[in-house]
Formats: sequence, structure tokens, C-alpha cells
Amino acid sequence: MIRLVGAELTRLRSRRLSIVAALVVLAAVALFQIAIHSEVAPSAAVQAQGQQAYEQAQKEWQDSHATNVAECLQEGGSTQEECESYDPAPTPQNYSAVPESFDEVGSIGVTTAAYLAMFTSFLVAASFIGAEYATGSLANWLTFVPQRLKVFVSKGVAVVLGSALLGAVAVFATLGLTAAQVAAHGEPLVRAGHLAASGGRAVVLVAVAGLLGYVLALLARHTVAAIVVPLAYGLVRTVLVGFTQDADAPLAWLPPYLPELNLQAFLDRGATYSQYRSVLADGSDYTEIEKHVSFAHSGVYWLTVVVVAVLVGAGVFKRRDVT
Amino acid sequence: MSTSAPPRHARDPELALSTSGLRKTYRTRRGRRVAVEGLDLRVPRGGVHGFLGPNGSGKTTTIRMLLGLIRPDSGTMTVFDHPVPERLPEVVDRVGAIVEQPKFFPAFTARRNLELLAAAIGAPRSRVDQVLTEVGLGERGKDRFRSYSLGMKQRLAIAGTLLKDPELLIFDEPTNGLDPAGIHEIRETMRSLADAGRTVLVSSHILNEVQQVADTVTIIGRGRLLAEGDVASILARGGTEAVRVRVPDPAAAAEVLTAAGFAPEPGPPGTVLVRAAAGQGRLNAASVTRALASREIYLAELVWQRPDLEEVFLSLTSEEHLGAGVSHPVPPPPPPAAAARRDGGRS
Repeated sequence: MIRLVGAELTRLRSRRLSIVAALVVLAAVALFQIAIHSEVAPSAAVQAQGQQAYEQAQKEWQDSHATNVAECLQEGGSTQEECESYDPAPTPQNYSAVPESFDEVGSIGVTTAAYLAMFTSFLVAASFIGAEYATGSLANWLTFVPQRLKVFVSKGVAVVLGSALLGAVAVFATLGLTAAQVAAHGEPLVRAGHLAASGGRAVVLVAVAGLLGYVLALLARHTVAAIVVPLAYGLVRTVLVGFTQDADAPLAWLPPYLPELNLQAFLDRGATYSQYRSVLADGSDYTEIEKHVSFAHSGVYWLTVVVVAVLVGAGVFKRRDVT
Repeated sequence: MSTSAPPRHARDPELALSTSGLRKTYRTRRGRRVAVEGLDLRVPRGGVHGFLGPNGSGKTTTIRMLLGLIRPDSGTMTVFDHPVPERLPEVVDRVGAIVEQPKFFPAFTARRNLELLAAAIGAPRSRVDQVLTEVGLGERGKDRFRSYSLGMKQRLAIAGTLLKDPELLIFDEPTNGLDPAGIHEIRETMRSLADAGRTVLVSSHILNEVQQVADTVTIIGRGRLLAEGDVASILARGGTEAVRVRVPDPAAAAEVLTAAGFAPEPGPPGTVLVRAAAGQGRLNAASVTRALASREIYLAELVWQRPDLEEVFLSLTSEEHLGAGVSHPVPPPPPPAAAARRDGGRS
């Protein structure tokens, strides 16, 4: 088995798409660093300018806030808190008067890197098996190694390892370089441990994305067919939104079982989402209900997805004719 | 396919591979189509065995079933006396196969393609260079597979099979698309492999081409066995050999030849087809010319008419009303008694 996994890993790293994917991810990491540079390490001039703008905004807010809230209440705002929330106080961060914290930027970095790596590894993994069907080389391979389950597992392990490596590079390079920028500017690495753990979970999700790409392409016997699945889901999701936002809608129970919410919950150790319930009969007013998807829920969700994908993929591959 | 069911014929260690009652159907939009129907195949160890039949007769399907790529509906198969696909992993290292066209990763070099296969079976990397040199691709190993000509691709596929140093080589339509030089090269390769003690199973729809290299053949049509045996005995089923003579007066020539003990019959205009009469033994062309010359009938032309596998095949298919590559609906499976009779007749 180790021999087979080794052969599959050799093929994976020799593929042009794998190399291109790795370069794209590294380029994205570099671009992210450029993009956040002015946020985490603003120059003294930018900070001074920001401070000036912030003080100006603060003064304007103090002058107008009470009036704004009063107008809000007169125009139908239901509570003082609600109207207060419509006119929040400016913060120094809004005006780049102070550097963004490592916690804030690192969290965005982990999420961005995770989503990019997940998409990339899904694509690479789907193409990894799709190319074997397209060229017919899978049949050739099976004349050398006829044990179907062994072949399925070796390819799957190679894809998971390759995806995890890609995810680790994407996430930890992002975090590491961000930390370096923050530290170089003399700012503390706030909640670094928390972000590292989140990065670890992101790597797991990237590996899962690779596995799903592999299994979907294996089932569809085509790279493009596998890639169409998440795109089609994206389309279905836009339609589903209309049926899941109302707390009393027939599909109101669905959001905790949708992948995007579970991705967020797994990365951030829990996620919240909102549903709405009409207060007035004509629907002109409503209340917002905040709901929570726990980390444990998302863990079980992804574990189930992996187990089902592996079982279905292995079952189909074991029995299917390969021509 | 049931593994517990007893095979219909006893397993024979002298056979490189065998099938018994092998059946495979495919689902199509118009229902099920029979690809292989109750095929009994016996390939002896050593030599070149031709597996012949027209396109769509079930050759590739049979080979794929033997290699575990597709699952038969029923029947049993053995490779080196091991039931397959159940025990295929035990014998797969002794079998090298090219099914249809050579299938490699086009963007990889020939060497990288073979290195991957070598890694999968635990063959040393040095073996890759050996087999590349063996098939004459040592200099082109660093070129991408997609840049290869069809002949080179075929040679690379043969190199791939040799990585295992197999006892049995299965070539499915190996000369498809090759030019005459390429065909000759592949034929020579097959012969030399067989001469080195290996068994070569070569499937082809070009029957006369295989006739030149095969020691034994199996002919199938519509997934059914039509004939099997050594080439000479199969050819004998195509009729006796004859000579066609072109003469000024065919009727007079026929009279002379009849009187001389031959069995002439009218041939194409201006010719007589001459066979040896019953009990006369092999036809001797010199006797024919001598008999005619003795009556001052001189030949303008003499051509040997020898039966070839193509004629045998056409004769067999016309006897069985079988066409080539025509799909037909699934008939009910034969009753056990009929199947047993068929096996009894073969063994």
C-alpha cells in the first residue's frame, strides 16, 4: 500500500495542474500580504492622517448622535438600542489610525487561505482521477494492480495528503507572514494560539475538499462533471435562501445542514446565522432570531460527509466496469 | 459470477488461460446487448495464440473480463489455473496486457509513465531503462507520450507489459493504425516473445495478419466460439487447396485433367479450378502442368488457391448466420442440459 501511495504521490506532484495550483496559492498568499500591509503596519504619516480623520469623525458624531437617535425614534424605530445601533461611534480602526490587530487580520487570512486552498485542492483532486478516466490509463493501471479497494484507497490517501500539504502551506504561510508583518511593526500577536488552531482545522477542511473532489470525479468519471457539482450547488443555494430565511418556512430547519455554515462553524468553533419572523400580519415588520451551529455539530457533519463519500466511492469503484 | 459453482470443464494446468460459459451483456438504450455469450476459450501455454473475430465480436470484452476490468454476468475464467477475478492478484504479475490502444498519461514522458507503473509493482527503476531499450525507445524515453507516433506508443505499451517480465502477454488489436513496417515490427516482437518461452494472446479482426504469426487460434463471432485449434487444422476447415489455371480452352482442359485423375471445376471465365481428387493426397502443381502439356494445352497462368483464415471465418459465419458487429437482443440463457452438451462436445 505504501508503494502504491508513493506512486500516486509521485504522479500528483508531477502533474502540471498541481504545480500551477501550488503557484496560484503562493501568489495569493503574497497578494494577501501586500493587501494587508497598510492595515497591520501603517506608516507614521498614514497613522497621523488617520488619527486626524478619526478625531474629526468623533467630533461630528458627538454633535449629531443624539439628534440622529431622536429622529430615528420619531420615524418608527422600535427601541433606543436599535436606533443607537444605526449610528455607531467611529473607531480608530475605521480610519487606520491604529494598526489592525493580528487576531482580526489573521482570522481573515485563515478564512481566505482556507477557501482558496479548498477550491484548488478540489479542482486538482477531481482532475487527478478525471484524467485517468479521460486517458484510459486507469484501465492500464488496474492491469498492474487489480485490487480495486487498494487502488481506491491509495489514490484517496495521495489526494488527502497532497491537499493537506497545499492547505498547510496556504494557511500557515499566510499566518506566518502576517505574524511577521505584525511583529515587525511592534504589535503583539494577539490570540496566536487560537489562530493556529483555526489554521489546523482549515487544513483538515482542505483535505476533505480534496477527498470530495476525488470521489465526485470518480463517480462522474469526468473532471468537469465533478466541478459542476459545487457550481450547481451554488446556484441551488441562491434559490434556497428564499426558503430558509423565514423562521416559519418549511425549509427553516435546513441551514445547519448546509456546507457553508458548517465550514464556518468548523473553522471558528461555532457559527451563528439569522432567521426572521414577521411581527405584523402584513409582514411589514419582523424580528431577527439568531441561531447557532456548534463546533461539535460541524465536526459530526464533516465526519459524516467523509464517511459517506468514502463508502459510496469505494463501493462504486469496486463494482464498476472500467473500460 | 459465482465462485462456488463448479467450473464446467476441469481446470487444466497446461492452459495459460481459459473461460467457460462466459457471458456478458451491456445495457443500452434499446435494452440489453449481448457482447459475449457462453464463450469457452482455451489458450495453451507457449506460442502465439490468435484470438480472432470481427469488430464487435466480443474479443476486447473477453480480455477485459479476464483482466478484471469488467465483470462477467456468468461463467468461469482461469489464468494459469487460478480462478479470476477472485485470485487475479496472485497471477497478475505473470500477465502483461495492452487493451485496445496504449493508454498512458500524455503530458508525462515515456520514462515517467513507466516509472509510475514500476513503482506500483515494486520493479526497480533500472528495469525501466532495460525495457525501453528492449523495445527500441531508449533514446526517446525523455519525450512526452503525446509526441509519440502510434507505432512508438504501441512499443511503449509493450515495454510497460515487460516491466513485470510476464509469462503471458495479451495484445488486443496491437496493429491497429500501424503502417506496414510497424505491423511487421509488432509481428516480429510477438514471435520473438513466444520463441523466448512466453505465451502471447493476440486479438485481431485482421485474420490473415494473425495467420502469419499464430500457432493456435480461436475464432469467435457475436461473442460465441466458432472454431479453435492449431492454424493448420483450422485452415483445413476452409476446404482443400486448389490451383487456378488459365487456358485457351477451359472445357478441353477440364476433360484432360479429369482423365488424369484430378477434380477440375469451372473457375472464373477462361480458367479451371483444379483440386486433387478424393484419395489422391496433396495436389501437385507440376502434375497439373504436365498433364495439360502432354495434350499440348499450355498454361497462360497458374495461381495457388489456398484457404486462409478469412475464408474460414466467412464460411463459419455464413454457416451460423452470424454477421459482424451487429447488436442483437438478449436470448434466454441456454438450459443447463444444453450447456452441458456443448461442453461435452468440446472436451
